[in-house]
Amino acid sequence: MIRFYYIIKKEALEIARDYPSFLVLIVMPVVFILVMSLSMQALFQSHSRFKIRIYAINSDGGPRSKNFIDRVRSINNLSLKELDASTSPDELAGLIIDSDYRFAIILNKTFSRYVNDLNSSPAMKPVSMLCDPAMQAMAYQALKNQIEMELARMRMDIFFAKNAEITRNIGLNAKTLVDSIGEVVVTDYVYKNKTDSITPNATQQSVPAWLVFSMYFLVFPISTIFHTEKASGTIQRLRSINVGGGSLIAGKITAYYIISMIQVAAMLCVGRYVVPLLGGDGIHLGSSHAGLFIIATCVSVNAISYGLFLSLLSKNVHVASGAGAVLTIILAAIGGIMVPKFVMPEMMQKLAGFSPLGWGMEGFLDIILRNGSVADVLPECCLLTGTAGVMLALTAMMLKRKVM
Amino acid sequence: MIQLENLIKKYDDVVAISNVNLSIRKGVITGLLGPNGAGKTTLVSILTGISKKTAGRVNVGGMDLDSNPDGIKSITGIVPQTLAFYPLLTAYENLEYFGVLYGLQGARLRRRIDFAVEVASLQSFLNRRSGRLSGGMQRRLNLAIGLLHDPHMLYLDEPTVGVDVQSRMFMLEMIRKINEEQKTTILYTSHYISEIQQIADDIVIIDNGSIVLKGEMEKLLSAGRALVVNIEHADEEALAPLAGLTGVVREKNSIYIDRDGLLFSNLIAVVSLLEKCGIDMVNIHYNANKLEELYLKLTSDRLRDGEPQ
Repeated sequence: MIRFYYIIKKEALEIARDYPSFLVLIVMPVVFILVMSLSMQALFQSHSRFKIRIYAINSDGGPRSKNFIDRVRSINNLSLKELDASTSPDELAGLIIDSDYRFAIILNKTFSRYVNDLNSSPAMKPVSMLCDPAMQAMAYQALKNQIEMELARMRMDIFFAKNAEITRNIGLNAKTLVDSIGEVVVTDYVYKNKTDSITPNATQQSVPAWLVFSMYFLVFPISTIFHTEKASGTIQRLRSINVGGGSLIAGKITAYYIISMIQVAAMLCVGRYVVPLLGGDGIHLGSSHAGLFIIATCVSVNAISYGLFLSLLSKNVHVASGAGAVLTIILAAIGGIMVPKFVMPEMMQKLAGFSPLGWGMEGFLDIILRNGSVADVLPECCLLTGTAGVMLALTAMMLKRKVM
Repeated sequence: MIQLENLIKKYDDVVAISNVNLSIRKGVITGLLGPNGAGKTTLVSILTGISKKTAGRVNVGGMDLDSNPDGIKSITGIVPQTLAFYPLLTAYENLEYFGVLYGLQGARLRRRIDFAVEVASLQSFLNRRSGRLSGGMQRRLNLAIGLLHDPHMLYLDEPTVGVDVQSRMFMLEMIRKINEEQKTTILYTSHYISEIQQIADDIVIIDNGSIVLKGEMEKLLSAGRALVVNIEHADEEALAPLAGLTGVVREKNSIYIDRDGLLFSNLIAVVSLLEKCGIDMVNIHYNANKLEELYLKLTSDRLRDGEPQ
């Protein structure tokens, strides 16, 4: 037992004193979570403080187009700045590229004719939209939908104003009808456990992904320490002592498990206590702390097995670090860590089902966002521990054949 | 202490150790010499239980390697050529860690650490990270770790490689002291022939996986040539009388005098002749290069780099 304690102590001291590994394992994820939680905060809020900034140019100049600009200006999540109608297309393009206004709408000269004449179908569209190519298609689509909806409302207003007698005769409240456009869908979140539901926020959504991603960076200290031991002949010295390979692997797993749990605790504490201090929303850890512990343990064991497996598979520390980084990033991308799975094409979504990082993230999301219980994370836990078992068995075989 | 009978080690079709029979005396320092790829490391790896033999019998300290490998490991210490410790741990933490792995704990662990520290003169550097110690200190720490469990048999694989002369002298004294005071049997591998000549009681030369020479150092060195007189230039005509001296041979600018009853009279005759002819002596060595000559004669002087290992 005392041997086991010293093996764990040795591994822990080595990791703690290996500053680059410490930075990768603890500092980088903490900074990452702070940055991601704070910068993405507005995107996840229902009543967003986040405003999309747009330029507007009124080439039409009529009262209808002036009224439309006022209507767009009054939309909650838009911040509109009207430019002089004489602004040239090149000047406008330059402003979009250089300023923090990424969109512009131009009310063309046909605008008034289009809204006044419900039968009109002018060759020139009433509104043109310019967009910074760096903007995501989803943002562009959301803005386009809002502009088109406002235009539809305006045309209906005009139609009902012109035909007030008809609406009166059929008993239709035109104002109620127009106002209800875009306000009829109620959003509610679906939770696995309804007793203590959680409102999703940026921290809730970003912490699980980056937490899992960071845990797999254990591959760096694991491979560094293993290859240093191998190159220095320390493993040979250990081999000449009566120390079994099983004890050495078990000691490493235990030490890295402790480090991994510290990593999880550090990141959750930052999400819960530090992000609110900086003006963000704190993370809610769900109602199943046992579920959280179990999924964290399974991800940790899987990440450690992955690190040991890659270390044994690689010829030296450079190969292990390079392959570890590339493979981790690929598995993260496939697993939906970087891009949400729901926006992926069907084939990529199927592929996501093969990424341990994806399983880990889903497990954390089950607890933290969907308010799930231990039972809800069992499928992910089985996958994680199953693959960990396979990787550890292969590691033990390679260790016996190549090193011991 | 060690008995090897018909020891064979093969890596696929490559024979690394070929039918070796060897006996290593208890309580002595045996120098193991051989060119690169001769089989030294393989032999030590088998003896320390790191590699498995293909055939043959190995007996260390009365224990058979096949039936009692753990017993052999418990009385065996190894000091690899590489610095086999953890650079991020302090010297003390390394000693403590390996001590515990050797099965020591409590007061006995402290006593053995104190002993190893004193022998290796590491007292002032115990709390310094091992990776930040000087090359000499690191070598001493590497050796100290191998002494922790009071081994009866110690394998030293190039323990002084890369250290300065002072550190090397210190380490050789340290090894000699361990051998004399602890009665530890030591198998010492080195490329420094002078070092082997200085420290070893017995010598084993291995080449191509076979033992090409084994014996006691003193007997090997006392046989044959004892003195070499190096001269400035060789005047064939003037040095012709050397051919009439029994036990004197000239090769180019070196005159060799055999160790026999005529050693001193031959030396006087050679020096007188040189003085008479006006040939200056560069130097005179006693037993110098003897082992090196023997080694090169037995193993040939061709380069071994690039040959299959």
